[in-house]
Amino acid sequence: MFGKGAKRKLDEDEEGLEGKTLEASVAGGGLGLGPEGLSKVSYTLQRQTIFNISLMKLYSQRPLGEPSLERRVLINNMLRRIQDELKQEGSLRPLLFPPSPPPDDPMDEGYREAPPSFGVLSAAASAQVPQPSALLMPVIAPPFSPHPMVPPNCQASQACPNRVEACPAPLEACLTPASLLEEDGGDSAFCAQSPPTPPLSPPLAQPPPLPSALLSQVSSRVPVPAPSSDGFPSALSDIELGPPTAITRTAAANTTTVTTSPAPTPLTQPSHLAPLSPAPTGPPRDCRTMGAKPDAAGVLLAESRCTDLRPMDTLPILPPGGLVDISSSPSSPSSSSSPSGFLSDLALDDVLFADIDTSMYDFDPCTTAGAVGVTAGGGLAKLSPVVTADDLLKSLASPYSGPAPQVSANQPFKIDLTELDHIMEVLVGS
Amino acid sequence: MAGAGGGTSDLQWCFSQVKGAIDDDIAEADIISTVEFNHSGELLATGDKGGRVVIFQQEPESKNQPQCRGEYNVYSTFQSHEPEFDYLKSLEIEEKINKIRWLPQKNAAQFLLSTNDKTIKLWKISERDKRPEGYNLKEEDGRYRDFNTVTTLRVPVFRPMDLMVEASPRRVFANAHTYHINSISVNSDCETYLSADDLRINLWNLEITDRSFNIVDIKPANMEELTEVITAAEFHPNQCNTFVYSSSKGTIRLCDMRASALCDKHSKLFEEPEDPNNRSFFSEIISSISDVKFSHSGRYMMTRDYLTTYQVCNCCQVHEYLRSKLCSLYENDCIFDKFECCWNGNDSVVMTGSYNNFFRMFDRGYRQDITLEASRENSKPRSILKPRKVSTGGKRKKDEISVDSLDFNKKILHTAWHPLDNIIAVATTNNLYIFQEKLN
Repeated sequence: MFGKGAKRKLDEDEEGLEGKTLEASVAGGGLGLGPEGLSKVSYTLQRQTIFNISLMKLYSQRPLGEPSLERRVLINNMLRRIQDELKQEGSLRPLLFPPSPPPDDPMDEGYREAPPSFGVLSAAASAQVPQPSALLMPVIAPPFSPHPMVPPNCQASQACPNRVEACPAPLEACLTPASLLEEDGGDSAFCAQSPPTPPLSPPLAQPPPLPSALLSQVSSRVPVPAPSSDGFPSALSDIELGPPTAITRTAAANTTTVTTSPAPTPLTQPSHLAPLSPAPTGPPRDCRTMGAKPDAAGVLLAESRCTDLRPMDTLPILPPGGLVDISSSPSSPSSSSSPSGFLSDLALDDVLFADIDTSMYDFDPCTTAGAVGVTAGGGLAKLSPVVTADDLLKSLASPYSGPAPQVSANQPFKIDLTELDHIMEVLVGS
Repeated sequence: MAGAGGGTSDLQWCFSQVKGAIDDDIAEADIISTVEFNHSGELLATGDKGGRVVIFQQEPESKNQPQCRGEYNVYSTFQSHEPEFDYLKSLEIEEKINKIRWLPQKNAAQFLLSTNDKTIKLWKISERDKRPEGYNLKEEDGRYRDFNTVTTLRVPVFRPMDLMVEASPRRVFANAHTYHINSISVNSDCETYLSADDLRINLWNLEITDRSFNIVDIKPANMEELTEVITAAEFHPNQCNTFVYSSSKGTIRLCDMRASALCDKHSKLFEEPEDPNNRSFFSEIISSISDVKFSHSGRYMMTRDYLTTYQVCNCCQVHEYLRSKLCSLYENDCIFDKFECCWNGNDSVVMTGSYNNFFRMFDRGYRQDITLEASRENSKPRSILKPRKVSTGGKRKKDEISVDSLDFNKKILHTAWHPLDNIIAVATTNNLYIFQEKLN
């Protein structure tokens, strides 16, 4: 197929496997027949493969050169279409609840984006075919991290099969509408939820340890956040419209799981925590561990920082100039690809279904009330800084830098501690 | 020697020349990125990835060999664009020449526009075959004479010299495009031209470099919502107010500049409805139009998407056999290859490139098509090109090539047809092939 039968190159070895499987499965009918013509399995398989390939295309890029906008737009549209399809399918299928992985699973540190998507996909697939995830996951797990700051973590792929398979998750399960906040049973979930939020998330609007999912939930309450700085269609905005039930339960599951882990450190911030009542509910369930231990350090740091900031209630996380400067880079495609808004959506999945060690968190009703108040009253101005360092990096790297950073809760864990330090210094003026 | 007469089956093509390095090791800078005949066909310009423009000139036909049209030999070579670095975005700006367009000739000099991703330049190519000699104050080699030695005065005269072709940049049109320029097109009024990037089209006056007018802008307010980009644009050959632009979603919009200053609203929209039988994951990608060309008369328009070329009311399948391979082509990025297309002089035949160094011609009137190959094996002078065939089914006839053995690294993206004669220039990756009609 490629140049007189030459074997394909090696970083596409996985692709080769998929390709062969794919070719075999579509040998009869070609691509055009759609689900009716092809068997459902092969169609799903094909879709997953294409999804995988598309993600890889978006995130592996030439150094220095600027990727073609047309190509990116086309790949992005492809991803969006597949995502929409999955959403539709997901809404028809009962949610799958994975067994909880051990809390101190080291995987996933800083490797948030891709696994969730594939978890979703494999969940979608697994609904139809019991075995596919085992087959698919090693193939599908992307070998690199989209975020420039995060090293690729191949452990993710190995760790995946167990948990991803169990990942609940039609994408809309990740939706984080404001209604989530009001959901009774789900309250604790939010607190327990996933990995630490971006360290720069403002303490005022959000307790820092809250999962990014929560951030987006809160942000969904306020007027639409600034458009995604990287311009990819924000599945995030799509996401915010869906039913919250899955999240609630998942989060609750996380909470339950989590309580078994030892509390790493006593922290003051738990008081900052979630505006929701702490009662854990729901069956234990977990999609994947978020590497609680490595994250813990980040969380601790973030939380301590946020504690510092507490008194400076009205300060945005970044000096407005800082944000503006970055985000006001010419609205043209800039250099390296960055995790897209699309990926922010995927990361959301991960975030929401991740198992986090929330043993350090406590739920303080007083703070809860306060936080809620702030949230409710807080305007976009307060919330948009939440995205801060994420956006900073994203808008720097983003192909479609928009006028302002997106309120996306996607890679809270991507921020280096050094970045954190720096930014905190700027804020604190030290 | 008018344009193609008769069907393509009557016409036979024979090899004329090949330009470029022979070895298989292709230097990146030598990759040909655009090919264009000038309005008389006497000059053939190519642009490459290294930012160079090479112009070939056709030798005048010799009386001795009437069956052989003049050969094309190098006329001028110059470095049009240099690589740049955008410090603000930390990005390299490639020097690759995306498009060359000739201006109609008005005087002895030739003018062409060449563009890379960001900057368009107007080049003047002029000949010099005389030079003044006999200055009073300067020696022939340019050194100044000692005044004391000047005792007489003389009038300098022009004397013939070896032909020298000079290319000099006359205008530089910069800083008007945020995104990558994909097309330029000179208006029939010869005063203005348009340049199109992924999201905007600008109108320039050839004399004015510090100002351009934006006539199309499809950038959404929220870049997240970006789903479509401009892929090609061209002015109507006769109507100076009409231009057309194509998109990545397979739509073509015809716009009239008289209607409004910003031509966001099209006058006419063309779109090929999707064939439901052929729908696949890749439907959108393969419907992205890579090239749009008006016919010389301006009566017809042709577009090229990944698998087909469309002329108004006529669809020609270029390499339909690839449809079943779309996933692999997506994987290796070949699905994003942008093929160009071109008309012959009398608008009866269209030509476009394909893989395996194949190129195809479609005769609109006779509804015939032919596949030919540009390869070194067929490079004997005046050797006739044999039609090629790609077999899709299981049974492969002799001389047919199966789809699976096509070389997807050997692609012909750029082709050009002499405006008056049956001479074609076909660019493989780093070689330029010139074929002409077999004359008896």
